[in-house]
Amino acid sequence: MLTKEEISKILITARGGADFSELYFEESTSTSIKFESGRIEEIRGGIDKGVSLRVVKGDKEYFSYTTSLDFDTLYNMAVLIGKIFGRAEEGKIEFRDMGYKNPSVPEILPGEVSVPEKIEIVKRADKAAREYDPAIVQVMVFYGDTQKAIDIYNSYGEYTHDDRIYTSLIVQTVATDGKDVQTGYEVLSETIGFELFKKIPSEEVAKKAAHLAITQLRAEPAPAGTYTVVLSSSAGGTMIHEACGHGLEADLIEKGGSVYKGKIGKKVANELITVVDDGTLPGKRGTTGIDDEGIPSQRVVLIENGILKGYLHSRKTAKKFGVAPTGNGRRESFRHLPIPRMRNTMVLPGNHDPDEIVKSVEKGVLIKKMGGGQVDIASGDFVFNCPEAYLIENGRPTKALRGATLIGNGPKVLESIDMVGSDLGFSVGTCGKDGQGVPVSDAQPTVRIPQIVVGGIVK
Amino acid sequence: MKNWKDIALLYFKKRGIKDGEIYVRDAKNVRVEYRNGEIETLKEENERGAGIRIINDKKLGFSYTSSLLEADLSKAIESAFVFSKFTTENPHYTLMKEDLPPTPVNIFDPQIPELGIDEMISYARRIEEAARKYDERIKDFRTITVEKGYGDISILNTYGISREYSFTFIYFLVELISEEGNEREMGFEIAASPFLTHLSPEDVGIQAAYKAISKLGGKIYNTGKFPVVFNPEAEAELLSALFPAFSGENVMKGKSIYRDMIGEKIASEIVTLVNDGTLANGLSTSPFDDEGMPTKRVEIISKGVLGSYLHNLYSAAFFSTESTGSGFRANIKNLPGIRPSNLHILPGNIGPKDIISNLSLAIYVTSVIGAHTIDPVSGDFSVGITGNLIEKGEITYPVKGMTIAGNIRDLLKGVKLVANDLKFFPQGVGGSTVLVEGLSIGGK
Repeated sequence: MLTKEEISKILITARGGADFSELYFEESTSTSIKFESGRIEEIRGGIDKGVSLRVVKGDKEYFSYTTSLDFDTLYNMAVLIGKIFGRAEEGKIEFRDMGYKNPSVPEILPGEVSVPEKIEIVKRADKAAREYDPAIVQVMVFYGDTQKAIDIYNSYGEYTHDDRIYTSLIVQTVATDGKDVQTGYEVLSETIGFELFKKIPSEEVAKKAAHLAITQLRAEPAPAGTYTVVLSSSAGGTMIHEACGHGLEADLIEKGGSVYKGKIGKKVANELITVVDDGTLPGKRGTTGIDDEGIPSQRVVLIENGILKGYLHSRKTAKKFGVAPTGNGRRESFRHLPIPRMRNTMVLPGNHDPDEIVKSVEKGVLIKKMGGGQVDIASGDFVFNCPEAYLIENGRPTKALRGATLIGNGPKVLESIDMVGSDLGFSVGTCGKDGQGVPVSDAQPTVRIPQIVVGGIVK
Repeated sequence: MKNWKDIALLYFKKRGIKDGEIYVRDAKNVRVEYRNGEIETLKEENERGAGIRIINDKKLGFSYTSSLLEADLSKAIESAFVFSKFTTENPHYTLMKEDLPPTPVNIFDPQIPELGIDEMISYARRIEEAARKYDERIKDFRTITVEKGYGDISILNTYGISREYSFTFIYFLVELISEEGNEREMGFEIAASPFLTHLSPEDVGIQAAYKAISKLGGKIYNTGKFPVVFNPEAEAELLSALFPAFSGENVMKGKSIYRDMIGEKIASEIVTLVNDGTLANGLSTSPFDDEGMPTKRVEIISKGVLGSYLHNLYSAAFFSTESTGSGFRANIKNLPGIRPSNLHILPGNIGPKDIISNLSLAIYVTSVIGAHTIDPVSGDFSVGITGNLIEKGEITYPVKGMTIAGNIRDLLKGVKLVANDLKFFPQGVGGSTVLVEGLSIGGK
């Protein structure tokens, strides 16, 4: 580790005549287990540590990283960058520890859990999936844990630190009845330690993945057409994340790639709709103590009762927009530049009883699980697969549907939603943007969309 | 300070590890992103790290570390050793054991490490100027990237294998916009080589400009079956997507349409598909792969007949054959998988213009959208295309918003002509202009 004096010298040299310089140190330790067809195919782990040096002047960003953590390497990088902006100031930076704390507090660090205990979790999932139904013929289980320590020093004299833990389990199942083959998929991931599996046993994750494959196997082809759709809270917030959230990231607004550009203070959704991005929810996958620029994580209101309130900002975009940063400047690792990203994004619950929402629909489709899809971020147009969907007849879910897709436009859907449930369901993922993946979660209550196109079989 | 080789051998020995391997990558990249006459982003990457592989009683352990200091390296070896106690046995795991000589190739250009940022900026400027000069409808540049990289790859194992090589590369990318009336179209070009003087910034600018201009005024054409001409880039995109079907690991797991088909005719007679890690000046040429095995020239398809899959040591052991020197790692964190090296269909003797001039009505495809969605197990595909109509031997108006659907099997069997304009693209794949007959085109 470098001394404070060395860090100060590097930051001053690199900044030269620019606005801002920053050193971002990261150390990440991971273990993963891949279990397939009853075999432990792979156990992999390691340490990844490095530091990046960033200098910002207006729109311009100069960035270097290295896996060599010695002073000479970093100082040489600083000299190279500093030259571009001319004169390096003399002086010394005194660092203040900003003391921000991560709201997620792990109990059992995965690094202190033995490999056989981790294997046990995986094997129990495999067994539970196979026992769920004889039609389950193949099971793949993936376990992963990561411990990440981050230290950020900048030319403003701010020092911030964050410890992040990610513990995850993915179960994939294949079911067949001899003719048809269907797959199921379920992910569990939180920013807590190994106690995750006390809270949610791996068997539960496995059963959900098995249930999905079996339901699909016994489902009928979805009928294509325009329907009233009830999007259950169990589907999580994939739609809000993909079809609305990205359009609220300030860098996309700036590049003109978003329908939400210039709409602050205007009505962009039904008044029942409030959307927030909250990085402070303990345990959730998108939760952090600070973002990857040392700004404390916070709760940002994006849309309040249908009115657009703000965007997601990094330091750079906040400066450009003349607002305070929102703690959304995130990066995949020390190898990447921070850019505005979501954390835990959600539509807040409303007043309707979720059961009543389903009962209100005479004929429609209930979607209980959202899968992959495609989204045009600029327009918000989306297509999503629905791995679990049911027909609603006379206010009751009846037949399971296979191959249903949901086709629509994010902003228009938010405008048309006319019932918002009092429940809230989360989904987790790794959000990709500009070649960087960051952990996120997203959530939504049960909502009713009066009219939306469901793709499927044309009868 | 002890060097990493001594540390690795010491800890392999301490733990009684008979099959141990360390792979070290030490690389430096400098990237300039240029916009509106100045640098927008400057990125410098200094990447050093190791992957440790241990085979312990037929069981595999793998770990990585971005630090080669003794404390970290010994910890990584210990982790790999611990993991190897718990994984499932597999008799096909193996390391390189025989000291086969590396392929004598040169992929190091001493000019590249010395190349300064100012020179990189001047290349970016030349790309921009050439594109603007090509046509005044080139209005906007999203990005111009100039990147250089150099470094060393080393492999050492407990069977006395110890080898390394140095590499360089230079890379140009431009994304620009043409504008006419209300219409804006994007043009995109990438070029890369191990050698600085093998690339022309002017060509890159002109190619991108040509693409953006030739898309202006695009229409949707009729649905139907037509002869299709793929340009080198589109052909390379399809080959990239098809590649997993020839990977020995996929064949082993039953995930290939060409499993159990060695010796069978799978393509038209004019198709000879070559993977050649020994190709002079090739972008994915190297003396050995990331397991130490010498690279080779392998005919995957010879005159339409499936001759060989591509193998790393693992799939080669499973099929009781030799590695084709195709075991490459995505990065230090991953085991060697199977990747292409200068994969291409052997070019023919005919010029691309001669192919086009003989067609009365055909589709000319310059870009394939969603090629990665081709299902390598069933071979079914449905991809978006952009390109032009060919009428009476001439390339006429641009087409867009159209699709090609079918099965890869029919695509390879339908190849009628391969032109002499072979060109290589990043990701280790090359393409030529090819004529394929009877493909289903979706349009209006």
